[in-house]
Amino acid sequence: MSRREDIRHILVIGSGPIVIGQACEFDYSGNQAVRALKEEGYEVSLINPNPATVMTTPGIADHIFLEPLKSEYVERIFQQVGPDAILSTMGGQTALNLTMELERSGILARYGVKVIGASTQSIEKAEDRGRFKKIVESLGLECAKSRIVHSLEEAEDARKAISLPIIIRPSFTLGGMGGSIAETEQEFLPLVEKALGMSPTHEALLEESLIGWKEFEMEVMRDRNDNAIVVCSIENVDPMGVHTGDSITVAPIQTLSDRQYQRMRDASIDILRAVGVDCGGSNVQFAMKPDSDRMVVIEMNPRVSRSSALASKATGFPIARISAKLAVGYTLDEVRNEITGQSASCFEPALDYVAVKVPRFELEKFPLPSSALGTQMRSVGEALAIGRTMEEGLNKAIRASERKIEGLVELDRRSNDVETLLRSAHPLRLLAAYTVICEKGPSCLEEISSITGFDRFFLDALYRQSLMDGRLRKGPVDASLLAEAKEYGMSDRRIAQLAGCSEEDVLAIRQENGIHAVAHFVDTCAGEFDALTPYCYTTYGEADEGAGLGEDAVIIVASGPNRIGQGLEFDTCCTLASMAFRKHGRKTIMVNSNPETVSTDFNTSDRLYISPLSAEEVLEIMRREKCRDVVLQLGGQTPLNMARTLQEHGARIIGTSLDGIDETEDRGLFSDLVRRLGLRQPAGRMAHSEEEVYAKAAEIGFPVLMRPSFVLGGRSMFIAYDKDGLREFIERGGVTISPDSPVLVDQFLEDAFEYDLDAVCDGESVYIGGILQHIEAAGIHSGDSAAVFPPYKSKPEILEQMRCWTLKIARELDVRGMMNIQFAEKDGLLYIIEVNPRASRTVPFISKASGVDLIEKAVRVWLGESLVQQGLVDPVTHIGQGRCHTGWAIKEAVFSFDRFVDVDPQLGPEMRSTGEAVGLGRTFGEAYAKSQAGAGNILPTSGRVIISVNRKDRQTIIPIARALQDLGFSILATRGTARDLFDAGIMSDVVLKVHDGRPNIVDLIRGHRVDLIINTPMGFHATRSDDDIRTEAVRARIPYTTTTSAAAAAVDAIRYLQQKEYVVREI
Amino acid sequence: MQHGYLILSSGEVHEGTLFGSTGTIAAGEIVFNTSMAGYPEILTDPSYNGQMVLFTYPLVGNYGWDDAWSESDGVKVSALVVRRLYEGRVPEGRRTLDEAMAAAGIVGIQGVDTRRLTLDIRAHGSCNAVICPEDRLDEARRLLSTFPPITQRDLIGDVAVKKPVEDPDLSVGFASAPAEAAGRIALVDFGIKRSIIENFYRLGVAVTLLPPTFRAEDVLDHGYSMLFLSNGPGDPALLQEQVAQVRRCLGRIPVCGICLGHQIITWALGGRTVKMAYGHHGGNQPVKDLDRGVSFVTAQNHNYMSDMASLPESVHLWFVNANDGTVEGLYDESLKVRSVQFHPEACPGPHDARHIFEAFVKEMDR
Repeated sequence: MSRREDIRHILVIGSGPIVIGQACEFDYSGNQAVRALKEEGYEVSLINPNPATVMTTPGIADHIFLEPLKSEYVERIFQQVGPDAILSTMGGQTALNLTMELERSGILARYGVKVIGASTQSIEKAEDRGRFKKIVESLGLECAKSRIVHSLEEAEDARKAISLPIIIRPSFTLGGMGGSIAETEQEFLPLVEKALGMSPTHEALLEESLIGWKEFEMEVMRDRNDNAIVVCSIENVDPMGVHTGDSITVAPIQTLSDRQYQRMRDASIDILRAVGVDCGGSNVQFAMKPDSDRMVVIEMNPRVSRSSALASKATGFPIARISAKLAVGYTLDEVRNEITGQSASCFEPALDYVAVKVPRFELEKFPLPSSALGTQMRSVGEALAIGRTMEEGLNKAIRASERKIEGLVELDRRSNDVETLLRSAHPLRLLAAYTVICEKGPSCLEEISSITGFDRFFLDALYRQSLMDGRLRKGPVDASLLAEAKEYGMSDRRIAQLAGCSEEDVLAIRQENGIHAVAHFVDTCAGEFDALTPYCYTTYGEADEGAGLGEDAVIIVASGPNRIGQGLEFDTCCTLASMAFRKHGRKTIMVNSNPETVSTDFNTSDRLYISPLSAEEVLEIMRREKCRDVVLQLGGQTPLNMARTLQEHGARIIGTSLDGIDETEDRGLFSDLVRRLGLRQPAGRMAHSEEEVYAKAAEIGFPVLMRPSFVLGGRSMFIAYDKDGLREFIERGGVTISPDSPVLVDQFLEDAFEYDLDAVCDGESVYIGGILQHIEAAGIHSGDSAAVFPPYKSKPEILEQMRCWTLKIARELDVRGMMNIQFAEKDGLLYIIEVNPRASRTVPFISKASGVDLIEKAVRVWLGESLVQQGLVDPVTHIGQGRCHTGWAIKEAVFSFDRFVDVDPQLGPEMRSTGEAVGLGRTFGEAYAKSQAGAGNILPTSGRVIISVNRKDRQTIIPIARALQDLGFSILATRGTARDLFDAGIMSDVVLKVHDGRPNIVDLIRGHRVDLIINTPMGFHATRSDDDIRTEAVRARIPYTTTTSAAAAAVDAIRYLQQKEYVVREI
Repeated sequence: MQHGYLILSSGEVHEGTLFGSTGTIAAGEIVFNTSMAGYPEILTDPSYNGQMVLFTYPLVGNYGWDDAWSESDGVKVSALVVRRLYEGRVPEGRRTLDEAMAAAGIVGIQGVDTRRLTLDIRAHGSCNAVICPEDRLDEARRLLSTFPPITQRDLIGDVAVKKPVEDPDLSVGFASAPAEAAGRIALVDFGIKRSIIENFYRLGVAVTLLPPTFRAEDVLDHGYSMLFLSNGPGDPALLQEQVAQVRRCLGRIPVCGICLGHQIITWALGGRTVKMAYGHHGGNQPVKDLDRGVSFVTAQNHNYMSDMASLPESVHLWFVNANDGTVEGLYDESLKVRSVQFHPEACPGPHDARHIFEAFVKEMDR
């Protein structure tokens, strides 16, 4: 064995907050890496400011730093704990960039820290597109025709040489950010200008367009002895032109001959060798011209990636874990394949199924631009499904993406322009193709293939599905047809829709005829060896493998694909619960469809099912595993939505009863509860028509908050200050109101303080993990607001009232396990906004900041140990409460607005953040400064600040402006604000608003003549100029705040930063 | 759609749908192959003569059929077992797998639980099986009950040349014989794959195919630079006549071989081969080079293996299988013997072992 003895202590760099293009996959890979390194006896440190991750759970690494991913903080870690190596390949592009920065600034050399994983030289070779192209060409391989440009003049020359359409990619950005496709001369130069602006090196690559070509990915590993393997090959169903993260993909490659495939395999390994990747994994992307042998290399990433996480889950081969072993000197033949227990890791996994990935979009929150999808990733998550045929894989994966689409279904032509969808790179393009195939039959397949770029092989699967749909419509649906339909991966619901019967009818036929799901193991070897793996998927019509775990086991239903409002936090809750159950002697069965996650790692639970998350699937798994206990509290809203069906079919729901859940989710029941307990909630009414909305709003009094009755993450929420505002929103189509889909009209508590409280309850006592106070006032979604632990401006008696109310509610609902309550305080009165009988987004954050793992406490409650017995609560008052062990902890929301240049980054009642970063500190200023740095907002310590606030904020802004001036900033203000500041004795320079002439506020932002922007929204009737300021600020990467409370916090943070004394703390 | 059955020697019956030559009854030893692509190369590999191949990968036929990929002059497997045959359109200029099978007179069955069959074969070993249309079940059962085990069948005669052939033409899709050869080898054909010959051509080596009935004199008296023993079907233990001829050549001319050829060399050196439970069939087998310490991924297709313990000490272990430690290659420096169990020519499978041909050619120069 050849473990490196020249290193002793390794720092693993995480990827920071979740943004589009960098999600849970790096928690998964980092977590695997940390464990693999600890197994080898190394001391392991970890830096990641993302508190939602599993990897930052105490005990995972030896030293955990929830600190910003900035070289000054890393340097402090070097001084404090003295690692002698850093692992650069586990934290996505962020970690690679940070490694390069540490190298360039000489910090690595100063502290004698070695880079392991990927050397800085190989990172440079892979990332510098010009050098990479030279390497590819030196290997006798082809790249797309391209040129690197640094100016518009160079770009113009390149355009003539390459000819349109041209793809424009900025250098050194993550997830293809800032990339675009220019079809016409008019749009060409503006797009190049944007790309140059996005690139930290002011450089962009212009490239021949390969739109419509077939796209492939190879996941390759290579060690220091030049052993190389392809772990997984992936074929994109969507052709070139759609970012691979936004494409439906299939593993393994389906449509290449062995000769073509081997050529691609040889090329991938040659590229790794030439780039110098010699101890880890990489992904290499290719395009092939349809029905030809022309193969073009697109790019490579010398690190683990979203694709490698997907490949790990698609094959069962733990790429990150093995990459970590290679990074410390092992070779592939020395590392055993833990799945089979008897084969070496230098083999290539053989699959006997298809693994289909479907991306999850948030089209409602981030509408697509007119050109639909492109080279810039826009999906927020993904779902994986495994099936024995293409149809089965596709049906299951589409369902698993939880978009309320029951697999391959026809689009409704009344609401979808099918022909346009077919011609655009739209998420619904596959279903548009399906629609046409259903209508026209097999004769249209070649034509659709040439329009869409979908290979005929995939279209044939759609055609087969259309035949099955036809047979089900025609009926009769007897046992044999039903069995066949289930083999196609169709849900009972979909079969019922087609057959014109009820889901229960379908289930009845299945039960009479014994048509049930069976499990197959994902064993990396297509059955060649007896596998020890716990990882499986369900299918129909074949032999079942492996005995059920029995009543000993508990099923944990996880949270499915990432989406806004339901992501990594819940995966962490599920993972921690599985760890806790196992620690206390119970077996766990994890059910999830999200391939990015730690919960779907093969050693997180005793058995893992990759499966769409629906009641039908969970019931089949229950049946097969012969167990009934199901945990639904930890995966967000997805598992809770299936609670009733599961219970009706014999599941025992762990923790809070179904009635208790209903009382919090049903608005009427909840109001009764509030009244019964003598608590207070904002006045609210339900309205079933537009007229009723106006009437109820008038009754309650403006401002009001309007929202559909069933929402997640505040979708379609709206705050109206008067009737006109309401009308305008409704007429704009912001919400549909009908007797079937009523809306809620609530009193809006303007300028109220908001709080989040997370507690564990056992029916008798409550342990409050912590109370968070939001920095932004009510009206901004709790998930988008910065939150401070402990509350930083509230009276003790309000906090006491919260504790008291929490106990009352917990006892009344008989809550067992996790509970989250949102409160608001206005004018000294406490209101209860909502109660969630489940783990919330803030649980991992509070657990880490307080040092008490709330999930583990809840699991112990479920196993019968009361909170009194756990010593968490006062036996007399039955209340206990955690405290922030670092003094202050601030969670800042992180947005991916830089991906959506057309979207106004203004905050509101609809949640739009994709992730979060934490700042820990002795002082509020320190914590806030770090939370901003962690979130990627670079607060200035000197320079110019623009202040432009609405009328309401003109008094509150005065002390802030004065403080900034005292800190040495010069102040620019728009006319109205400047006058108010002048009245208060603060001198400022007047800056023009957008429509007042030039140079105006936007010109200053574009010219980077400003360092900080404080701009509070002017309200619904304001002109577009307001939006422009924020959008331009995002583009120019200038920090901005849209609330005065955040501006006040920024002042504290700037004061801390000016001391230039960076402190890091282990948790 | 023609319904049909796959019947195993255990008596177990699997129902499915037939394709290719659907009226035929076909018998053979059923083996599984874990390659995820490359079905044309596998189906035309003469080493599979007498065997029906089950693909563990469930979707087969996805990219159609082109004769330019064939490893011999036709389909050599006795039948094909798949979970799902692709029946849609294929790129222009190609045939569908169904069409190619029908033209070759070979039957296939789809719609059977290939995963379960694989696990059974893994547990109980390879066995004889028969495929038949639903109306010929009894006939098929009778055939199966009398069908000889693979160890008792002469499978080489059908697939090898009958008389010597100089510089065989490999047809479209393959390289031609070198115009100016660096040497000429005597290559005994037990059912050779075109790719093996092509690799010698690529290295500038001319090839004369000899039939399996060759005599040592045919090799030694004609100025060849090497005796090369090809891959091929069946049990090497049955080929004692060939073993004797090879033994006579040892020490007088370099002797190299692949797969069956490697097994014959094992016997000629004084060792023996044993039957494996279900063999190695696939494109993902890791092999470790004990001299250089590196590993690589190989294509394999064999049911027998060399027993290292049975060989004299002068024989060195060259390669081992990194999964199960079985013999993957050997050499004897003084006798100028080198052979490998895996398929360095790949086709289908990874190209990582192509350098083995250079090692063979080096023996020729020594």
